[in-house]
Amino acid sequence: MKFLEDIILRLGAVDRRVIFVLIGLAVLIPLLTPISLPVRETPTTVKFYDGIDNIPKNSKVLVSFDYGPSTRPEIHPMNVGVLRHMLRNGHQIYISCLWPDGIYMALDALEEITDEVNPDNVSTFDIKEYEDYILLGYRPGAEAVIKGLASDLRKVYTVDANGNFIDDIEMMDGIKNLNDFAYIYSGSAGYPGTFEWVKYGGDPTGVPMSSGTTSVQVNEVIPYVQTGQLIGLLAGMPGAAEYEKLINVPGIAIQGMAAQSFAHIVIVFFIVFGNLAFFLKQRRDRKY
Amino acid sequence: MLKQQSGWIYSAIAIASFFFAFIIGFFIRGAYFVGEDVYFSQKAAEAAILSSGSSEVVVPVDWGAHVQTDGSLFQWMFKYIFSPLSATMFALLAFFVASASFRAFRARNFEASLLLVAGIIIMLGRVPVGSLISSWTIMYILAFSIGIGINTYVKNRNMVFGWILGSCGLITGFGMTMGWPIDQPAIFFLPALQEWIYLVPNLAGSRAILIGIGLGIVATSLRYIFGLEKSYLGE
Repeated sequence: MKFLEDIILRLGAVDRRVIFVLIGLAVLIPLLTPISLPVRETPTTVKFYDGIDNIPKNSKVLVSFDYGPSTRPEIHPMNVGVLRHMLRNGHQIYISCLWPDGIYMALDALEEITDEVNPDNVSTFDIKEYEDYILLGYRPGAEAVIKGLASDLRKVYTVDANGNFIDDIEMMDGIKNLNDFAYIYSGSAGYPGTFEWVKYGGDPTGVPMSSGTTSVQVNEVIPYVQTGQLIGLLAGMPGAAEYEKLINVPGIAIQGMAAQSFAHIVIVFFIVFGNLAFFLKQRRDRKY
Repeated sequence: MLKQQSGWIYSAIAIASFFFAFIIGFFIRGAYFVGEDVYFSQKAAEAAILSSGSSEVVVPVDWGAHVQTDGSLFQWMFKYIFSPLSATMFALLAFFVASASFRAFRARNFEASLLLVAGIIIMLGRVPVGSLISSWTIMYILAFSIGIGINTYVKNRNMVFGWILGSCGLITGFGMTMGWPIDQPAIFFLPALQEWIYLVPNLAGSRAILIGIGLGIVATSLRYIFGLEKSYLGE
């Protein structure tokens, strides 16, 4: 028994570099040798899927890319999935960005979709700019941008991301403000993002909206799901994996689930051993 | 940096990076198109036309649009310098969370223990591996944990033995009757349990904080309106 206690105490005092190496291996090995784990849909993700699926076909939808490269692994798979789902249902997509890096994320997502081919080497989505989607681009101002979009979109965006005048673009005909969209979606990694879209976009206009957020944001955003201000929510990379499963296009999020699972197991293992060592040390200190 | 204090080299790199991004954003356009092909400089584009003998002309990308066009230096910097650095900084979080939770996440009192258990349930329940852990396993772990608790606080061997035998027998009996379904009883199934934690206690706490913030804003605003709050005047 004492031998076992000594081992636990030694594990409890392990150098942090050992933890770093183990976490690194826990993430790296599943990424290099893909392991398939079952993904189970949660009610908030199903609600999110249904929300997008229930938008009347061939509608105009606004998708906001409110994240950057740092949170790309979590948010990007969601946004790619949302674009796929919306394009599949024939919607016209209007892309805005509240983050300066968002435009690059949007370009990457669109490139990923346009490059996608089926087994017969034919493009899955035959989409064209200014017909199926338009990249409005980034505008600084956070809440002010959303408020501007809610009142008059053309005052916020006089030109699109390519520098073309909005008034000259046929796809923009009939779009005056947020009320002209059937749905708003924000892939958000913080400020400005989901909160701002709910407060200044979705709530004042009554346009249904949903969001995909990082895992750490879920705690704060979840009240909006219960009140119906958000139609479902994609919560972090697990949410993205569940959504990929629902739209039946397995992607990087499902692949990443094994790495995340093993990393979480390693963290839980260290928490448990850290606590065991803590209690054993306390007991020994009391004895002597 | 001028005083060459500790870490001055990082400040030098930060300032140099600022000027690098500024210059390539405002003064170096890049992305010269010859048909579908893109070249970094006009010279390279013209050389390509000469060597191919085509009649096409060089079309530079518009200023402003160059920052998001493939072939420009700014786009290259974003893709190959900024993105990997940002992702690396965020990825470091995983290592520090693991190290910090190992050192600081201790069940020192009831509240801390509650947080610890909830944290473990969320961590395992959110990922697919959580749905591979049967609710019966959790029930056995719970039965043994309660047994440890009885042994620690009551210190009665007979009671501990009775509890372990009784609870394990009951769990096994129910399991055999129900056919050991992995997700039943749902209350002990980690994904269902984590969803409940998110949607009930966590939601209640988040809502309380949001309402508290709202009431705080109203109260502060009223203090300003009625002249009770004068700190902004320097008092």
